[in-house]
Amino acid sequence: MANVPIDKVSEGPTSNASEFTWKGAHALRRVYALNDRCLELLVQLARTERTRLNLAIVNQHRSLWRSLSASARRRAALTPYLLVDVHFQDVDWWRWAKAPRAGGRRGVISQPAFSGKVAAELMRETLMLAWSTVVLDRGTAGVLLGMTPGVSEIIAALGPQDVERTIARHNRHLRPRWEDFPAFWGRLLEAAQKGDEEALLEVRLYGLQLIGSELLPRLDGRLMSPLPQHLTDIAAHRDR
Amino acid sequence: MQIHRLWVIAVGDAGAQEAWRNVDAQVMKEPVDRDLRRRRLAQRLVVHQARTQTIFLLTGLSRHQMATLRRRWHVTEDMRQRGPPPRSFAVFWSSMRMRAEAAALAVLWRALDSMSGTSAEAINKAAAIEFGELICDVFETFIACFPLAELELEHLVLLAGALEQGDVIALSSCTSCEAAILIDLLGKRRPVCTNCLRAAAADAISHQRADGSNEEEVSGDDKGEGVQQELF
Repeated sequence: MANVPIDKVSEGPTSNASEFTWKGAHALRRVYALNDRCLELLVQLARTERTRLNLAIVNQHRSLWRSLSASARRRAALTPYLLVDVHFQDVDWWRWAKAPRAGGRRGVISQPAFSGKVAAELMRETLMLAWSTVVLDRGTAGVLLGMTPGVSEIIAALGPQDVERTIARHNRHLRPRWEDFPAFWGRLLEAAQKGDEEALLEVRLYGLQLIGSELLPRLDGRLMSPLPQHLTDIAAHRDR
Repeated sequence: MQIHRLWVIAVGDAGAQEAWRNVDAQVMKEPVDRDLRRRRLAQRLVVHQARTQTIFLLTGLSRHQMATLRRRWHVTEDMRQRGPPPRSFAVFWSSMRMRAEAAALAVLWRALDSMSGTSAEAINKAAAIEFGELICDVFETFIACFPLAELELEHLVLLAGALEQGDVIALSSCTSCEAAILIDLLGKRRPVCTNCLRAAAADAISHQRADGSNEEEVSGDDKGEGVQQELF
């Protein structure tokens, strides 16, 4: 059942029409825009002549990427979490990255997903979004960016120079989310291509389930329960 | 403990509800701003079509007070939901879609509850209002992220209480892809997510096509368990 339109009940003396919308709604719109930009770059990458690319998600679904229309791309972009990631769950990486002279093995990336000017631009947009979101609300950053509170604290404390340095030095670390999980991307692209809203909703929900499985154990080990023995047995029996 | 108390107030038996409400009355002797919060929460709950019983339990406002406020806010009868709030978990397993929605809602509840930054002192003093505000925060996040979702605010009240109690349902991991899923602790459903179920269904259909058998047998009716039991 649809909710009551807010303006129908917000006629009290201190009310206005938008007061009960989610405080992260503005950040969500920016996530959509950045997702669209990311998808556009991946489409361009898929349409290049190179036979083999660094990204499995592009290689495996190359025909889907190549045929993705602008309207389908916009539909795919409407996932309520960022489709790129910069170690948002790795507090140790961020501690290392914020150091003025960060060096060592953490800095080694064999094959960056995005390169050159494009990577720097996308990293800038991502970091600005991350910074403004954590300043607004850590919970919103957790949901939209899959970011742990520890990383939120570090990003919130970054100054303009820190942000610029991170963009310049570490833009190679910007990766598509779940780049090792092409099945997710295949489902997302297929649903967007067909304009199938039901399938799109399901794949978006599934993405949040994936974020939950990554984020919740890092917030508190008790937030995800281990499977009880009888369900483990059922799973093992069915798998046999 | 606090969430358990709120859960009892929301859906527990009558005796337990009365006992906890008396406790609530003691801890809620606070200044007038608490009353303003209560009214504001009531307004949010009305926007999200919570039933009078739920609003009463979460805000403490009486039916008469609610009736007055509804008139003031110009809430018409057709904007309201009638009857008792949902109390059965069956809705969370009723279809693949509902399973996915319930799992996503549970993830949001756990994540936002954990990151809400409520201090231990605040938790100790917290009452139904804090619980209600968090419920609204999570539900508003959910409908902003998934505008086509069908679960309602009162389903979240049910889900949140049950997750905190942890004796009927729990949030766990898909045994295949590790995505967060809602599991029925008393049931015998295979603990896999809807995505893996669908993938398995597609595989089974393609195998049956290759074997020349009837695909009707595996297509199911999109009811989570109906499909599942046929397939594995």
